[in-house]
Amino acid sequence: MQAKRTVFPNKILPYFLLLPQLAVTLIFFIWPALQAVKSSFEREDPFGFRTTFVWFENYRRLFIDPLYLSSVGKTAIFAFSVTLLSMSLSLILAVAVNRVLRTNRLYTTLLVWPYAVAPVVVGILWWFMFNPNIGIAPYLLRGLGISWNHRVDGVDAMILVIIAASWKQISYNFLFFVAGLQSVPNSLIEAAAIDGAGPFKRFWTIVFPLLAPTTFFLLIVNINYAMFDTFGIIDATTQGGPAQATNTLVYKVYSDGFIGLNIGSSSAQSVVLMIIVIALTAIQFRYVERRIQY
Amino acid sequence: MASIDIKGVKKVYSGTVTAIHNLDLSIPDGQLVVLVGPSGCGKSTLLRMIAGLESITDGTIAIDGAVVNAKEPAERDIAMVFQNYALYPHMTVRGNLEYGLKNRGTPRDEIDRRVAEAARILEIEPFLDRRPRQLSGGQRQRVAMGRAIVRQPKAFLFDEPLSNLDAKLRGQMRIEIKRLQRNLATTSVYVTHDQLEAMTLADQLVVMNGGRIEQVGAPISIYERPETLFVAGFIGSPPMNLMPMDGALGAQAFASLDLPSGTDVVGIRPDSLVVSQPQTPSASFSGTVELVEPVGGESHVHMRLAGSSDIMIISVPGRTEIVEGAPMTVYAKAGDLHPFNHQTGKRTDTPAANP
Repeated sequence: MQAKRTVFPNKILPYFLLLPQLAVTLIFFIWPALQAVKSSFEREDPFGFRTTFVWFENYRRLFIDPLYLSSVGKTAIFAFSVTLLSMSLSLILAVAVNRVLRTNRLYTTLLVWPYAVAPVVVGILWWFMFNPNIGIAPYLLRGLGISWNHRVDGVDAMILVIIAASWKQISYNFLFFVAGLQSVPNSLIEAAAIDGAGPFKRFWTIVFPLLAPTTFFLLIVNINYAMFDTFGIIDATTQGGPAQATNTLVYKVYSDGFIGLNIGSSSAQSVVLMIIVIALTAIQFRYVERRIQY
Repeated sequence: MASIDIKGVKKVYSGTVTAIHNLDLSIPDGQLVVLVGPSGCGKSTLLRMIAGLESITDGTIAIDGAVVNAKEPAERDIAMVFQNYALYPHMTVRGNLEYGLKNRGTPRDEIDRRVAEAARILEIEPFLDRRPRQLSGGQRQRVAMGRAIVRQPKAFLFDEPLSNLDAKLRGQMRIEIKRLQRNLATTSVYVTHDQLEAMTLADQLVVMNGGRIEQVGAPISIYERPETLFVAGFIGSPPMNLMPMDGALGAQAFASLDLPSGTDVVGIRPDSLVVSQPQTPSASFSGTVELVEPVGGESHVHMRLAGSSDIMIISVPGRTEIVEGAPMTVYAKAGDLHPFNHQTGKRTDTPAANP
């Protein structure tokens, strides 16, 4: 006997049922993406009267533009720091929660809340706390003799967006790490304890390697998040400034296109980003799904 | 190599549930002691307390004369074989064997020597560079034992190590464990719920029930002389027939026999019941054959006693002529009866009264 399968006698019905999802994908994803690819090969005059097809001119200019190259560097610093900070903090939190199993439902619930907060709200929240005039953080830092002003200091601005972006992502990472930790059999930990490994050694030689699939998955997700999903946070806190200090690639797409009205360059930038997303997703599917399995 | 002394040990979970009541047990050096009992009797808890994986509520556990209550599992110098083997899945077999030695800072050449020796003894040399998931159940079991023996610990602790194997492999591994333990002469504590495994492996058998020790002794002496009703019913397969003496049946069957005072339950092993009346004084039981189970070398006859709802199991050698539905009478010699009192749960014949 084969497994029971539903067969539609009507040939059109299956397509009809798929139509809403296909329509959403086509109208909101595929079509804009194709538009971006198309306009990345075009240049528009300042008044929007005429568009000329310029082949790869937009791309060529992009890769010799020092502002764009500096934005690549900023994005790398930003993505690396956010990934490292949010993943390591959430791993520490997950390990701590995993130790106090009895109360972990409460902790887990509380720690998940930041994920439900909209990026712009996260941005406002941290912008408020770090506001050089009225914020609590600069006030406390001043007590320590540190002067904080992310409006004029590029490093301060970068630290601010990294903290805000990491804070939001910790919840997500935390959930996955807790699930990963719970799936490590207790008897393995006990066997390692009998085998003479202390708590730290047990963590690094047994638990952490067994978390590798989770860690790798989160690594890709976090890089993706830091590079593409942090637009709202940056827009609400620094708006790419001061002096381009926090102008990451995704924010630059917005500021060049919608503020600077350079549609051609903005489109070329978004196509570059698209290619990065596709590459990261391919890595994730190819390796996470297959490679690391025990 | 060491003795293990357990004195007045108690385990109370979350202040209310007592898993182990004031338990005393001393395990002599080099012996294989098997803790057996139904699930929930506290045998695994006791083993985990010896290992240091559970805290000890009260009393002391000493390994090699030194009290280890406050010591970490690693400091107790014991090795444990887990029911699910607990092999480290991300390490090769060699990595698994080396892990405990590396953690203790054993020199490299010594590690290699010991791993090679353990691999030779357990015949796992061809798999040293494989991962645990590439091994069969029996091979994983060997690796788990290898991980224990490379350490050359003071004691081995086995927590139902064979219960995940199929019946044939279980029998084979049982023999190997026994042979290995004989050769290494390392003190071992072995937990199982399988009484056949317990009987065949043990130098000393410890029967546990409800967090208490029911009886300690050599397997055969426990089989021949169970001290309590629980042990009588638990050890032996098929289980001992426990016949209540109240009612018409008891009175007539045991009337002629001089049973100790206080006896109200009589236990009879299925293989002590015979079809021909013996010369010596005996009890007799009549009934109808309800079911015959041929198990190969012997057959188990289930007989429903006349005028009662009790079933008696009789073990007869070979293939039997007895047919289902036929009337039957069986006899048991007076010396083969085990008299008990169900109130106290203990034997009623003291050793002095029954030479």
